[in-house]
Amino acid sequence: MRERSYSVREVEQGIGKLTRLYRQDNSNGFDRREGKERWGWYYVDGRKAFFISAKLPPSGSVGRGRIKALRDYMNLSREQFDDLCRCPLSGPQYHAIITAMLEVGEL
Amino acid sequence: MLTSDPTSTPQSQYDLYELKQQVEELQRSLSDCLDLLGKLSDHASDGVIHRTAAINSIIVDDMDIILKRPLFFLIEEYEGDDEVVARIPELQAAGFGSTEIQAINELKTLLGELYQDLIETPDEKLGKLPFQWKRILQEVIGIDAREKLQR
Repeated sequence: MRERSYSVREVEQGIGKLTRLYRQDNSNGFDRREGKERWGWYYVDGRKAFFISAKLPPSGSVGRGRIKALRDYMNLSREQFDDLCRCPLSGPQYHAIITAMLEVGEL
Repeated sequence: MLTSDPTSTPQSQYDLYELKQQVEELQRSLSDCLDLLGKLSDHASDGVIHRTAAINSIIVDDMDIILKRPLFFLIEEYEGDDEVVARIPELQAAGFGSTEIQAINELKTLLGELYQDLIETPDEKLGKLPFQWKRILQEVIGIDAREKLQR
């Protein structure tokens, strides 16, 4: 199946949900650092669970290869990623998916 | 005249059993082939060109650190995209660029930053995956280079 295309704004919206989660208690969610590669850690209960490289072009659309890589970083299916970027999936709902994966040893 | 059922002798029953086993084996092989065909078809419709390559160094603070053994990665080019992706699935790391060299350099820099971050983080603060990545990177970077970086 072909990777869907997204605008930078849609992807930023999805990532923004995870960074807001981190700002609430600094132990869960995505802490985006401003290094050369603009990547950061996704935290679960204060531990680094995985990293997300969120370097995006300044505007326009995000390439399919980058979308695939982002989905892999975030451990999301095409549908879940779509929900995250195009609204219904909230930050806490995303976190619940990740903690469930950790519980069953998938992460 | 007395006629017997040709399938009733022990030899013919054994042959029949063998034949049934072979048919089942063929069915399994066919099913595997169909799965593979499905995956190839998905791949072809995604328009992705894949090939493997290896890096022999990572970039830490603009310095090339030679690895003890090469790290293999995938180069992906998506049809219609201007971007090249260099990806190491085992480390969930990827670099991007408009050329292969740019993507590889971005990947090397990301690996350097990731390594530095991981060695600065105590093991108890790392989840299962980052802990594995730390071990892998420590292993490929080697003691000499690690000491050089700590100086």
